[in-house]
Amino acid sequence: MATVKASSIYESVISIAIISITITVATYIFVNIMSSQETISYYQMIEKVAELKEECEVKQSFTNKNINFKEFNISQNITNYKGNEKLKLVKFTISKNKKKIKIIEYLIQKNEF
Amino acid sequence: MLKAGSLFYALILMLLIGVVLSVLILNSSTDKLIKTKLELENELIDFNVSSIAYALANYSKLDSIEQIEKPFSNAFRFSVKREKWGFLDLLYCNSFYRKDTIKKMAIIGSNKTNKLALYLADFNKPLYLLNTKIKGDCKLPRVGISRLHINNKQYKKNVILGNISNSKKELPKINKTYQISSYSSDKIAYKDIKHNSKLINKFNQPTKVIYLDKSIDIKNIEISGKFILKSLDSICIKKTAILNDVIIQSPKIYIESGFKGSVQLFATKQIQIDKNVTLDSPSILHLMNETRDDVKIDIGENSKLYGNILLYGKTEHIRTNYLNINKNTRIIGTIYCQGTTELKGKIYGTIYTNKFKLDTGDSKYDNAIKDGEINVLDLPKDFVTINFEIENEDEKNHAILKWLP
Repeated sequence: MATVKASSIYESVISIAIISITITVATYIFVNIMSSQETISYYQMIEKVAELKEECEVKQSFTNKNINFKEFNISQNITNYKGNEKLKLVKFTISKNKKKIKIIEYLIQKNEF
Repeated sequence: MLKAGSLFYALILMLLIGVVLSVLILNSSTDKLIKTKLELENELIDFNVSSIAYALANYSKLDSIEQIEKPFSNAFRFSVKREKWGFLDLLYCNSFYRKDTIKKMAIIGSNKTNKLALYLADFNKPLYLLNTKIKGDCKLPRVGISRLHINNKQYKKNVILGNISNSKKELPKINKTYQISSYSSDKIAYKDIKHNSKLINKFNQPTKVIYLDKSIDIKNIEISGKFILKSLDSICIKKTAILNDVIIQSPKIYIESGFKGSVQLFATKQIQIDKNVTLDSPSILHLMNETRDDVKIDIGENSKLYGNILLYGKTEHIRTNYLNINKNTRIIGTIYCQGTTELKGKIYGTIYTNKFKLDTGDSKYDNAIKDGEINVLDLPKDFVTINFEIENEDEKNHAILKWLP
């Protein structure tokens, strides 16, 4: 009759422990990698900033404003660059849950048509 | 016999999960690296646009010495400088981030803020018009405008839209100079260049000068970029030549019918443009009368010029300088003629001249225009033309006229 050699209780406990730790670490790394990818709304927000910059440039409208876009808050701040009225420093501060996540700056020429 | 060995299976499983995770981490980090690089590249391109905005807004403060700025809180820097290329202004903008650089070169022009269409010097003679349209402001002699009558025929009415004010006896002075520095450049003899060659010299390279012998025409060749074509006698450009952004310097210059290209012509005696020639933006016809002889710029029928015409010399030589704009010719830009202009074509822009002349074949009329058009109002609001600085002129917006490769 064939003999069946089962694992000992210690062996089983250690195996279960190893598998549990491996799966825990794997889940943690997987979740971290997935959450580090930028969301679609992040790229939509970047596009929104580009749109706001275009508006300043084309319409030559230079006003400070705050815009809530999806989960982001975009603050547009405009000043004269080094006191030159013909050159505007346009600064977009982007925050999420009241935490600053990005600053985008441009210099835009002010035309007098 | 069956062996359980659960510890062994657990280790195999751990190894497998480890491999899968390593691949995932590697993939993610490579993806992140590429994304960061792309983002940086885009940011540097945007930053370069900012550097151009800076250069245009501080245009009068720039010179041929590189000016370096670090405008933002990040590590991006840019350098800007301006140089002359004949009558045109070149702008060089370089943006840096660590070892990455973006370089841009452009020809700078300006937006016209005033709406002056005509400046006619005051020689105490009225301006006679017949079947002529002037759209824009005019600065005219005190005696004003009269209607020209030729053989008592009935013609359409003249159209004048814009404010009229008095001009002075002399034209306003040009504050802008030109620069053709060919002394330290590479020199090439035109006869040594093979037929059907294509010569390109980028604007960040030193100037190359091509010397022409007396009787050689420019034909079957393509020349683009920082080249000066020079002759001590005359230059004839055939329609088979392709010339882009080059300077041509010779006492007499002739362009054959059918030619198309963008050139700056610098002459001292004569510029003759044949019929059906198109001179693309930015082109310049520049004739400086250095003697007391008669000099002439003649633009043939159905030709188009996107650029400026400058004809001048010493003030006492006004009678010797003559500009002829033929029928159906269109000039889109500014004309400065310190002499006499015969206008039969259309000008979309501004003309400064001492006198007009009309030659009908049967008779000649002083200070008269027939079938002409000077129109500055129909130009687009953001139209960019070659920078042309004239005294007492309003401040202008500088803008990109043409990007250079």
